[in-house]
Amino acid sequence: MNGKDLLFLMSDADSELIEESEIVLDTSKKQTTNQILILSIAGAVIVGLLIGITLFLKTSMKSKTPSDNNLKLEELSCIIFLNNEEDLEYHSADAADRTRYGLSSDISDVKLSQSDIGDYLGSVSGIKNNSREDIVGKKAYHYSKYPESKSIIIVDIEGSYSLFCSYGYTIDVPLGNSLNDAFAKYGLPEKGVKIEIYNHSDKLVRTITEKSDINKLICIFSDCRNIGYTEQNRRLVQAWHDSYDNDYVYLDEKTGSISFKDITLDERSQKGSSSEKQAGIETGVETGVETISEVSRLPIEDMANELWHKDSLKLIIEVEEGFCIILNYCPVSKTISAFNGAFDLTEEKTESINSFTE
Amino acid sequence: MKIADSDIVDMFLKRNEDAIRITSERYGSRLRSISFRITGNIQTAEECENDTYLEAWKRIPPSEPRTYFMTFLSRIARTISINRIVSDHRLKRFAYVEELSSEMEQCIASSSSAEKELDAKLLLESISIFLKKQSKEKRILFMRRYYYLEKTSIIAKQFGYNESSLRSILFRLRKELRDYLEKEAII
Repeated sequence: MNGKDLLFLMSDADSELIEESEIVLDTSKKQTTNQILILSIAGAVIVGLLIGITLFLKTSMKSKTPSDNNLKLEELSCIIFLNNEEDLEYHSADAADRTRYGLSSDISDVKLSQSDIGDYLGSVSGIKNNSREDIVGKKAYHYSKYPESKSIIIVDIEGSYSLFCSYGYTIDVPLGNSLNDAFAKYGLPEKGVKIEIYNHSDKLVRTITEKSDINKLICIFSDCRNIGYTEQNRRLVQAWHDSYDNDYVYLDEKTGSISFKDITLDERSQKGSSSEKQAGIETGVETGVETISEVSRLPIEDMANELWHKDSLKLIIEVEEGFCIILNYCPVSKTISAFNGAFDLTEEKTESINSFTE
Repeated sequence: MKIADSDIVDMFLKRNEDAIRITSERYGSRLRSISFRITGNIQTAEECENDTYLEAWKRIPPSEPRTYFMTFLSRIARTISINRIVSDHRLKRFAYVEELSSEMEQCIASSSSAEKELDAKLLLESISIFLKKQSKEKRILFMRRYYYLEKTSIIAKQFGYNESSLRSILFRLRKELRDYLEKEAII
């Protein structure tokens, strides 16, 4: 069985899973004014009831805290920020994180004790998921067993908790600056534990754990300057021109983004698809189809993506705290994308990076 | 009066051709939308929608999907739509299916899976068990990507992620799924 077979097989996926995700699709449709009105009224009623119930519980039950051995852990998938650490993103802990922290991979088995909660850190100040705004402002506690990993638990409404792990810093590298400061924030190269290299199909091609190799790679990237996405896009467009000798792909100077000409297959054939076909063969573009005539049948966007992602790599640098930095290496544009920028690579650096995958 | 799904299925069983018209009125736009998300082409999506009714007509009976009629139709529409992309390379989405196939490959790629004949039913059951252990949102993200074949840019927008974060989440999910399938000796 291969990936395509599995993709087909997913048609027979569990009905519950299909229905669950279909419901979300339905709710994303535009709501009519009436629906909004009904929802608003229902919301107001619910809020009223909640306030009433809360007041009742406050007066009748005074201090209701969960018992030490029965703290409920819930899973939420969203990215949060703390009000005192706004440059750090926290993602909900997945199974791998839970294993790392010695918790069961099954969320229902997780038992936290009151002492695990540790120190009060602050409150949730922002959230990268529209549907989870209800936890903004809730108290965030340190998960005391793993202070070095900066994992935290978030107090949720009815005495249940959600575990989040710090994922990485939100770093902006100004144009012209190097990656050095961003790396320094992660304690690199000293704190580098591992670098995983994946090819353009997300297949792991190499894992580097040797300290000297990690240092060497970090050193290659450190002084690369941020040239910005517009310059990167300009290079990608140039690569298209060099390969296909046409202007179907061009740079929108206003926005700095790449645009594609709306051109039909027939028009492409008339306008001399021979160069297109020939270029496809010469550059060894992996199109998924093999014959010359079929190369030109691919949409321009797909042809461009094939060209640009050829030999591209994804490097995941893991540091001691468990943070991960993702770098996307694009040899076609001689750039590496990371954080908020595209960083320039010299010919020499490109060769050095390639030597790590040979 | 709204006709229940089970009544529509009864009409199929009785070979009443109104069943197709009613199905189309009720579920046509949803099926078209499923197909459009996969094929990226409205005309093809309409053709796939019509093929879905014909296929449902052929499958009922023996199938009697009284309690899961829409899911039954959605599965057919999905399969027909992917088949169209694979059989017709001119469609814009062909390379996209290749990309998704490559992502799915990571879930089942292991040192032993090359020689192993995978039991499709067992594999699907295990994937379901794995997904049900995940948070609801992760389950939906996975299904949106690998059942509805939606682009990460669209899913990211709807769920409030940036695209690279979403790709990381999906990447980790696929890795976890592969680990789980290996642990359970499925692959």
